[in-house]
Amino acid sequence: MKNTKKVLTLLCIVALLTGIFAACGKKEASNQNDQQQASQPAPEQKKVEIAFWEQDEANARNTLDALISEFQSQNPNITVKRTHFETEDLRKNFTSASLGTTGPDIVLGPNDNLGVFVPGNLVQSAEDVMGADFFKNFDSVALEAAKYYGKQYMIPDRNGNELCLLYNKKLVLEAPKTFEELMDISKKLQSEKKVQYGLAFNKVEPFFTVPFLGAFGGQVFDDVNAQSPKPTLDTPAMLEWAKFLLKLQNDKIIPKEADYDVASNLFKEGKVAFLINGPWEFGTYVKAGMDLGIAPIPSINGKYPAPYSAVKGYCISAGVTDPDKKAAVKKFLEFVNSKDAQLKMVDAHKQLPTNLEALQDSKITSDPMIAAQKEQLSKCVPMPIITQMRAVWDAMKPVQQELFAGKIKPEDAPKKIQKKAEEGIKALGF
Amino acid sequence: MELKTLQNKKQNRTGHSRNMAQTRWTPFFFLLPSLIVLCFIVLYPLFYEFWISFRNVTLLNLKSGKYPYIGFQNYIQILTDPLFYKTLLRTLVWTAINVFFHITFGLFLAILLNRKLPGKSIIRVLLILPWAIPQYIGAITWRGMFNIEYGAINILLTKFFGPNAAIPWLSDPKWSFIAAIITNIWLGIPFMMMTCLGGLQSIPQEFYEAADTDGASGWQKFKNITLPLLKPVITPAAVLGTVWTFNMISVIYVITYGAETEEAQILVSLVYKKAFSYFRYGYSAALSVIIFLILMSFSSIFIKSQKLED
Repeated sequence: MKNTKKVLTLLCIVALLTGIFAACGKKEASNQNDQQQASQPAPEQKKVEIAFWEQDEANARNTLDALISEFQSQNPNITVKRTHFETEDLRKNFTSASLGTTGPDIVLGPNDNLGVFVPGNLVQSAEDVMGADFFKNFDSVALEAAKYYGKQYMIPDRNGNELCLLYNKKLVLEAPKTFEELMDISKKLQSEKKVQYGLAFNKVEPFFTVPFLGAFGGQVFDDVNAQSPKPTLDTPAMLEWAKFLLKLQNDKIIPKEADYDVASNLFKEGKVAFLINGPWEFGTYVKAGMDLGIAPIPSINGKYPAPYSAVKGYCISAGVTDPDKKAAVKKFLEFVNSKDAQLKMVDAHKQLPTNLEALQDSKITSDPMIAAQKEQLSKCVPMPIITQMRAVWDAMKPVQQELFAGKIKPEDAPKKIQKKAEEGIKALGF
Repeated sequence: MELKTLQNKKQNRTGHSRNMAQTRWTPFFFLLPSLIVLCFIVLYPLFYEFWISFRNVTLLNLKSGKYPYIGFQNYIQILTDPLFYKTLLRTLVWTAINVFFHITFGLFLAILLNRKLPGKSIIRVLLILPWAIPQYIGAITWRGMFNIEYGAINILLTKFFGPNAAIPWLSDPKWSFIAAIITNIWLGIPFMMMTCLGGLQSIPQEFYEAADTDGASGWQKFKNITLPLLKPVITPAAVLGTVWTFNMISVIYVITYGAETEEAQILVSLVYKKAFSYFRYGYSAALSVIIFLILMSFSSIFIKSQKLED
């Protein structure tokens, strides 16, 4: 009894003290603000710090740093703090941080982030902050891909993100037009002991296998623009997809196990002739001294696989309400989306810019790596960015793994993927 | 009787404190700063977690801060799902195997290191290395070694046992679970080893000398001197190890590429997935509360049983 009392008093005191300390903290903070305002009366001189989160490759990060320091020297009162996150971490950390005050003001990432950010009310309309005129100078296709519920929530800064067929020109002179051709070349090179396997790609993530679904006429949703889109995964196309992937493995065209790094390294070391990967990694292979060829993923039975294309871009946090901060955010976003800045970024990510002037620049029109993507881009479909897509990825990933491991038959895969996707969509609350 | 001793104690204490010009609150004031910190970083989140576990918190209403009360619905949903029991069983297997090997290997190596060995300091550094490597990086390196064709482990296996001996560590979920266990055992040994070594060094040498005079064998010395005297060290370490292993997400997550398959996940990776891929915060909070209760009851029962044995 006595003990309980003691514990209770203790708790009360602690609770009281917590309150006092919390109050102190706030007061101090507001005092500081007052002082700042007092010492710097001119509004345009007010110091603003922008928290900027991105998920970009190492090359692009270096360019971003250079752009930020250029921006800061032009605007000495604004500091931009860049923080890097991986795709998933950025999403979950932004979601958690948005409850408090530690979140970012600007987020740079792929457009499927919108499927989380917009329903979660984490971001605000970019049109409200930037003004409608700002978007006149953007590629309309890219703008469309950066909308959610018909509203411009993202400022796209690059268009592409599509998977292509990369080939080692030292092993293969000309890109195969059909998959049958690719398999023949692979087998020939294998019999000549020039390579271990013909083709490699990340076998873990369904992002790298979903293009083949398109070659069999399948798509993952009935209608992404519908009120409640239904997954369409238990289809003959999905069965063909499963059979095709298994055939690639059984015919020893692809390795038994390969994640992103293994696939990439096999290609770099010349142990495979072909690789399916995106433009963000082109620079790495060129830097490694490879003679790199880029082509569309070849056709299967006359039909081309359809990789997902996506835009990446900037979102503005819903927490940016202070007018000074809004102005600073606007300034920064105008700066990084100017023609010059976008062109500098292209050097790093090797995808199409979205600024119309930048698109017409000779640097873009004459870049062989970008030109080579054009054909592939014309065969792409936009990646579904609705929240439900999460459930589709999470349904495909384990089943695909079981398929490659021989744990389930291709005939059973479509039903299982469909079931998992439906469960996942229900779990998401749709 | 007990009350009396308590009162006695109290009298002693108050008498004592008057002499030292202290009030009964003095010790409390010394503790106050850390108590405040603990409140912020432990108590508040804990209560908040209990609170949201009774509410429906999803991505859609997260920002609004208005979370409807739904009673025990989250708990009912979890406890009626067969997946929970399957995952719980796997988590128990995972924890038991890991902790068992952590302690046996740790103790074994500690005893070795406690002897006179040539090049002991170098061996010690080598054995502590897994601890110095960030878990995430250690796990990624192991994942590379587990690859069916290019990983070091399978290359060795096929060299020794023929081309069919390669194990699909990363593609077969059952094997990836075993791969994760191997990785985690490797990661956990140094901690146990260092803890045991500290305990061993505090055992007075006289006991062993006396045992030698009595003609005790090595095993007898180990069983009757080393083990009982190490108990105060090993018990808390085992409890800590169990709690850590039970909640060890990074290794499973890295080795199984995100613990997407149901056959290779443990409870905490389930929490992670529900909270951060599906944004079901209320549900995840309820699941975390269940994990908390499991671990708390385990720890208290384990410690009590150890005390009873004494």
